[in-house]
Parts: sequence; C-alpha cells; structure tokens
Amino acid sequence: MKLMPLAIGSLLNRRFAVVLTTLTIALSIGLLVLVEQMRSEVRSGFYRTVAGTDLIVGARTAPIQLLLYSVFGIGDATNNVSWQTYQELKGLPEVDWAVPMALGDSHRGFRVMGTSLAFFDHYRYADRQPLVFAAGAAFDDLFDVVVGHQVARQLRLALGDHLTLAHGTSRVTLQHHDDHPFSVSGILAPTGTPVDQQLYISLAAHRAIHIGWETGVRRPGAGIDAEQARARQDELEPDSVTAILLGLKTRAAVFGLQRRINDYRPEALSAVMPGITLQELWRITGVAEQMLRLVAGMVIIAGLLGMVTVLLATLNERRREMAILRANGARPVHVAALLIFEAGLVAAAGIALGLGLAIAAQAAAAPWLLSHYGLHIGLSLPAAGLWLVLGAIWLSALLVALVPALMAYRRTLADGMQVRS
Amino acid sequence: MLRPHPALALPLVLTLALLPGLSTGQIERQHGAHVHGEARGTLAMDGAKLRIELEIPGVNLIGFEHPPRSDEQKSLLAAALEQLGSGNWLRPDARAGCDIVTLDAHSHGYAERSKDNESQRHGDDKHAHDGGHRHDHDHHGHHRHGEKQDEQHHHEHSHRHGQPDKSQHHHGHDHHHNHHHDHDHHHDHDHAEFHILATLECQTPERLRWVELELFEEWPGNERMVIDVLTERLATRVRLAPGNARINLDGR
Repeated sequence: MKLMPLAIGSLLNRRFAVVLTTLTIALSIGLLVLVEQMRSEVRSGFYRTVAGTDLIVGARTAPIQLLLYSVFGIGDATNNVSWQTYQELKGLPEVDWAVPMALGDSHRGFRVMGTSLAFFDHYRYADRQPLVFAAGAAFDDLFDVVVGHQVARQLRLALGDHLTLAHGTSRVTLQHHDDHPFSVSGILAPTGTPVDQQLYISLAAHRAIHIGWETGVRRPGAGIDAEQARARQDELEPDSVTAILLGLKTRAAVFGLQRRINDYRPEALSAVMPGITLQELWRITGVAEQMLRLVAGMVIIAGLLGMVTVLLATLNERRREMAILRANGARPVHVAALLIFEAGLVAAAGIALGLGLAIAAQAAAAPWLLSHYGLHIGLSLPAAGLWLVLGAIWLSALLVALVPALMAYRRTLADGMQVRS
Repeated sequence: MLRPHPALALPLVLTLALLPGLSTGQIERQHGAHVHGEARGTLAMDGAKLRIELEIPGVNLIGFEHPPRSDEQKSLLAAALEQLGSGNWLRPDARAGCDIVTLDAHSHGYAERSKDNESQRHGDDKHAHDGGHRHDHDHHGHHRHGEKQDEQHHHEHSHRHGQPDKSQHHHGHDHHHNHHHDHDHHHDHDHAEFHILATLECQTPERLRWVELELFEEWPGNERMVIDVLTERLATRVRLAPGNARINLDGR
C-alpha cells in the first residue's frame, strides 16, 4: 500500500492547518539554526581578523576591551600608549614587527587609523594572508590616504579623490580637519575583516592634522598648513598611539614578552594574545548563547507539540477517511503508519523551510554586520553537529506522532468492529 | 549601536589630549593577581621544544605563605619543592617521546626577611630557593582590571590561611628600608608562590596530542590551574581541575 500519495492527498485536504503547523516548526528550526550559524560565523569572522598578530599592546585595561577597541572598533580606548614605549617595543630583539595604531578620527562614519607602512607589510588575516592593494599603493605623500574595500565601495572613492577627515568617531560631527584634505593613494582588496571598513593615513599625517587641536577643538592660527607640514614631515611624530600590534619571531617568546609588557614599570600596559582573549570573550557571551539555545529548544518543543495537537484534533474529523481506508483493505497498522508518515512529512518540510529561513535571515543580516563591525558572514551550510540535531528533531517528531498514531490504531480497530445503525 | 554618542566624543578627546601631561610620573604601585586555589601557567610549543611555566600560590601546595616556623613546615616546603623538581607530575603523551631537558622549581616569599644585612638575607634565601636560585622578589603576575580590589581580597585570604604575624610585617617593613627596588614590596610579603619552568624536547612533536599536569591528587589545595596554550595550531586557555589534568594539544 502506497503511503506517499495518500498522505499528501490527506494533507492537502487539510492544507490550512498543515501549513500553519509547518510554519510553526519552520520558525522554531529557523531560530535554532540562525543562532548556531551566527555564533560560528561571527566567531570565525573575529578569528580571521587577528590571525597573524601575536600580541596586542595597549594601555592597561581589560584584555577583551583592548582587543575590541583596537582591532574591531567596538568601544574606545581609555588611555594611550606613549610613543617612546612603541619605539622600545619595536626595538626588542624578539619582536619581528610592530604596527602602531592611532585612532580617534573618522571619515563619514568609517574609522581612520594612523599607522606606519609596516601595517601593509605585516598585517595578516584569515590563513595568514597579507593585505593586497586592489588599486594604487600605500601612502607616500604626507596627505595620502589608503582606503579599505568597503569604504571605497560605499563612498564610491577612486584613486586621486580628495576627502577630509572628521575629528572624533561619530557619524555626525561638527569638527572637521578640513584644512588638510587627503587624496586617495590606494584601495585595499577585500578581506572580510574590519580592515575593509577603515581608512589609513601615516602617523605623521595623523600628527599633522592634530597640531593646534591640543584642546580638542581647533585653535585658530595654531595649526600648520600643508606645505609647512610637508616640510616638517620627518619630525612629525605622535606623542602616543592607541594600540600596537606585535608579531614575534618565535612562538616561544610570546608568553615571556607578554609578561614583561604587563609588568612594565614605566607605563601601565596590557599585552593580550588575540586568540585567547577571544576565547575569554566567548566564555562571557556563551551564557547568552546558551539562553538563546534554550529558547530555541523550547520553541521547537512547542512546535512539535503543536503538530501533535493538530493531528489529535483532526483524528475525529478523519474518522470517515480512516473508515474508507479500512474498507479498502488498509489494516490498522497502515492507518497508524499513515499518521506517522504525515508527521514525518510535516516535520521534514518544517526543517527544510526553517533552514531556508535561517539562511535568508543570515543573508539579510550580513550587510549590517559588515557595515557595523566589518565582519564578513559567509553563507555556509550548518556544521555536522547541527545536522545531527536536526535529525534528532525529525526523529522526535516521529516519536511524538506515535501518540495520535496509537490512538488511531485503537480507534480504527474499534470502529471496524462496531456495528453502526 | 556601539558607536559613541557625539556628545561623548569631545570629552573623550579632551581627556586623551590631557593625558601625556599626566602620565609622566613613574608608576610606583603595581600588583599582580594572586588568587588562592588557582595556579596560572603557560605552555608554548615551538617545533620540537615545549616550554611550560607555572606559578602556584604557596597556599595551594603547603597551606601557608610565610617563612616556615616549625620543623614540620620546613619539611613540608622542602618536600613540595622536591616533588615539583622531580617532574613526576609532568606527563606528556608517551608517543611523542618527550624528554625533560630542564626543570626548575623554586619558591618565592618563603625566605625569612630579617632586618639583618644582605649577606644574612642571602643565607636565608637559600633555605627557600631550591638549587640556590637567586631571584629578585618582584611579584610577577597577570595584571588584571580591578587589581586594587583583588589585592584587598588577597590580604584577607593570606591572613586567614597563614597565621597572622605582626613580626612578619615588621620585618617586611625593615627590609623595605635596605632594598633598592622596593616599589612593590609593601604587599609582597603577604604572598608566597612556587615557580616552575620546564623545557622539554620531543622526538616526534607532531604526535604530541596532550600533556598532563597531575598537580591535583597530591595537593587538594590546588583547585584550579589556568594554562594559556600556544602551539602552531592553537592559541587557547585551558582550565584544569582535579580529574581533568590534561591539556589537549590536537586542537579540537
């Protein structure tokens, strides 16, 4: 006896209730898959960003804080690191490279980072891939700016375009460094990290545009013009930088240097290992993730219960259907199997639809995450573990369908033997 | 969402601009964290070389953090150092064929700090330092946010664990006078630690899947160990506890 056409025909006959049930399950599955997918994608997005950096050094603060404000642009620095310390760190024998980061300015909502050419040479992302220029080259002139992929794309910047930087990091700002326009000298290829969301100027330029700004606003007449600045380019060095990225020559040196920096007497510094700090961050966010998982799990249980409720509620209506099946030679086992089969179909459809919903939601959230955090969210299929969970959910749908199936089994037996008048 | 409010940006910049003027002074008071019950350590692997460093609060192993005052305490301290120095507790995956190249175990803060002269102090130190290692008594540790509160907290701990001893404070104070690098010594005498540095060399390092640090069974006071691990494949923080003394290195 063929179950499939019968089940589909029966389901179509009750399509309204069935669609609602499927939707309930789809929404619950979608929530679960979305939580899991975003979790793993966001994590890998963060890891991609710090792949090649051994230590991040900043003023003494909580490691997570330092990592977030230096690399991801989330939050602000409490303090800066003196230029002298940067020079000392850079000169250490175990240090392979040091990239200074001076933050605090922005261009139309994008962060501007004052840095050295070492950034373009040594910064690594994902599987230790170096930065590549899609067009142009690193800054050469004092007032050159290199822009990230997303900055160039969203602001439609091309090589040679001029732009002015804003003081502070808010999107709407009254303070502009409009006395010093920059011209775009290079555009970076996409990386899928916050690098795409930033503009890069030299430290000398960062210093130059802030001369006369010591009080936080421009003092008229105190600044220097572009020609003066260019003439003094070599002596323009910052008093301090926001953070320093360090790459070491050997892995074994990392812990020792980290300790020495943390114990450094003249200045209160923190050195953090990005991978371990991210792990600590996940430990904190893990609680919220567990709550979300719990909620998603509860919603799935509610969805499955809803499905059983619908099956149970329609059993009475379907007495006639069952009787016809029985009259045509179906045995009670077949009737029970039909119900389980239906439940399996509904659950499978719900799971498939839920997956689709989750992936659609991910695709919808991706641009927002990209523009706000520079995190590239890939559209990947769920990991093996999640497939197992989905399989288990499908099986439990079959299991809970046993309840209406058994009831139908017993009823069809009774119905078949009853003499109706 | 997390971007600073425009109104906040200006004060922030002002603060930053003022900072260079404020930060010229030397930092005189820095303190590392010292959490009783919790040992900290690192494990770094570079090629065939494995380097393990541990800092264990003295109270975890022998229950007191002051110079030994009885023969029993003296032998406890000596036994702990001997056991740590034996390396029995360090168990790398046998398949990798790792041998201990160097193993140094010593203690900090168990030396008597009398008001006598330097040579006297040297002599005293020898009692506590296994193998006669000399160390400045700088208090190493992971500096954490909110250290001041931590330090306060630890005071209480140390007084509870060790016997409160006025003479100890007195000694510390005197010592303070005849020592140069004494910024951080005000609190130093409250804590004692065991430091271990082990280096290993492995014949087939790629087969090293785990390392066990069995420092729990023998020492119930050692409740937790937080180990930062750095290998070619992973950078991670591992939390060890009784019944879970294994550091997995094969990266999930």
